Amino acid sequence: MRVVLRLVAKDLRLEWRTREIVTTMGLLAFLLVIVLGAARSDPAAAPAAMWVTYAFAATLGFTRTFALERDHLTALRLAPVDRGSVFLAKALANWLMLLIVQVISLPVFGALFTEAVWDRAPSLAMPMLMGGIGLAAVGTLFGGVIVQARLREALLPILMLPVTLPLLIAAVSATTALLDGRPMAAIGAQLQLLGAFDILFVTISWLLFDFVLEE
Amino acid sequence: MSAPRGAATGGARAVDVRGVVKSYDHRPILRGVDLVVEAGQTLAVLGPNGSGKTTLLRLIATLASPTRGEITLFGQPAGPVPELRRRIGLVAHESLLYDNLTVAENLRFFAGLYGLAAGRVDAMLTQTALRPIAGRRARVLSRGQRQQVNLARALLHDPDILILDEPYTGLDVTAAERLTATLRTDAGRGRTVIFTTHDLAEAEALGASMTVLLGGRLTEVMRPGSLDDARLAAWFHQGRL
Amino acid sequence: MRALLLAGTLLMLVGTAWALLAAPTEVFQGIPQRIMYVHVPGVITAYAALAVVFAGSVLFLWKRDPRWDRLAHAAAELAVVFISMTLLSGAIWGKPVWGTWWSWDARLTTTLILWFIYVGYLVVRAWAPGTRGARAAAVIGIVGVLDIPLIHWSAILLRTLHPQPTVFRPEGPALPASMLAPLVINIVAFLAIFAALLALRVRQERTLARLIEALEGA
Repeated sequence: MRVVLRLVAKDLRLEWRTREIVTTMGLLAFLLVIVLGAARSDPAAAPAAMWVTYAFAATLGFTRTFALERDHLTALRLAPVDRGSVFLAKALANWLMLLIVQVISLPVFGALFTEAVWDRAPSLAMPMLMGGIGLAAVGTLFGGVIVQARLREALLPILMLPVTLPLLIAAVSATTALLDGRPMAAIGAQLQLLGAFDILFVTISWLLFDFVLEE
Repeated sequence: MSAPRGAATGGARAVDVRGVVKSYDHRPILRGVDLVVEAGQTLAVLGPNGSGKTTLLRLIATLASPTRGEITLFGQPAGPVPELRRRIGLVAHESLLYDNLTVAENLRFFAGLYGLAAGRVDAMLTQTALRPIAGRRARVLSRGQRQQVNLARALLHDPDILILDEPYTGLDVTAAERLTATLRTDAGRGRTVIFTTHDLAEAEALGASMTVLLGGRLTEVMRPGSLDDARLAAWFHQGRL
Repeated sequence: MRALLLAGTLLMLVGTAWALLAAPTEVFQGIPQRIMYVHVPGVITAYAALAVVFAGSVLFLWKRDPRWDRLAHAAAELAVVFISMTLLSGAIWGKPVWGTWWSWDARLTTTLILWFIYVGYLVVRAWAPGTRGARAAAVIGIVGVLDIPLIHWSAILLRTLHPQPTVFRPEGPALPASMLAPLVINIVAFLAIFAALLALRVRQERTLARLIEALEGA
């Protein structure tokens, strides 16, 4: 576990030095909010806009974190660290970066779409966090798997979006209900789906990641 | 470093490669390699570019597994076993340092991965005279400096086997001399050292035993001084044994 | 394998002819309902193909034997073919009967998503050739199938328009025997053809691999 934290600290420190991943993710998110807001800025359009934005920011950011590693994966593989830890560390780092993007884009959504976003922010946190975890789990697994592929940046969304659709559907549904003023109790089914998705995919990704690193 | 190497291990053989074939997508790179490296031996694997030297090293380093055949390290089958990997240090062809971390941060990170005490990094920095550049980011180092730091990284956990892939490539005379000096100083500690090169002189400078990789196969291991440039060139020219 | 192909084709001819000509016309839907005899076998075969992809992918990652990868790859190609067929036949069936080419109901949505996932499988193999790509694809092959219940669940969170299952019900099929017979014939026919094509494709890849090895003097 300490190893996982060490690895995450390393990734975060690296990111802090250049800040390029969070910046590109953030810029893309910002751009998407504006574009989507320009198309339709009524409150009903907010949930879909939010999750489309998060999904695409994720697909952009998660290819970059592996691009950072390239050859370094060799050193990590050689170290007496088990693969599961490498996965958890990468997924955690990815999740945190997505979280940052989610948080900083929230005010913009509030300004362009509906102020309900700000009012309901505390309860929105739940679907946002759970959705982020699922995106990070799938994104980290697939990101690792296609590290050597051509057109990585185009490939990751092609792979990630269909697989994470259940998560996105549940998240949008939950967000819609919450923005409408419904209480947390009303989104029980959605949270269940999100929870099931997260548990299933964190587990599978953790198990399959070994094979990602083989030669 | 207190007990002599090879004492608690299953015999005097550090590396035992038997009938190893390695293919990538049905194309064989290694076509049946046999090799024995005694504990404490320094071995140079010579061969032209593209002969599969890197592949062989990666197999020994447990980073890849053979398509056929087996590799044993200190009597244990080579595989992704943490205890075994603790005993291996690798200086790869590419730098394994993180560009945007400083030398000290890089070393501390790797020390952490291997569960080493904090003082180890300091000791290494002093030992290798790298302290003056400890605060510099890896990105700004020269090729020679990067090599030094990579070597320090590989030696941090005091591995029983040190593997170096073309360590002299791209080094100027000064850097090369420094590398040879460091390896010579280290040699007295009984570590098994395996490195690849296509230059005979580098092998001779370290008093290494030699073997040549051609056409996916290895020659028998030759004692230092028994190979000359002409014979080597003839082999390379032929492209196979 | 040739026998399988012949048998499958023959069965399909028999089944389809029966379906189009001799089978009774359904009361509410009329002639378009006959697409069922192609649509349902298509769905079943598509899911059978996915099961093979899953099994092949798991075995490939576990045993590292390229044979399993060849099986998974061939099955994935066929899966995409049969899923496409299912989607198209479903749309053609839906238009006259429901008045719309598409509806976001659970079963349709799930099938559509699976199409994307397994097209993704094929794209990965194209853009990351070799063993690396094979392993990447195997991961997708496994993840895709495991995702099915979740996709279905989320699709139900939307709406459902699909006709209630009339063949696979706990109480037994609700189709009259006169309709069941040609349907079953066609199902067997499709599966036979699928198996034959699978074997053919796997053999093709195996021969290619052997050829490369021979040329390289392995």
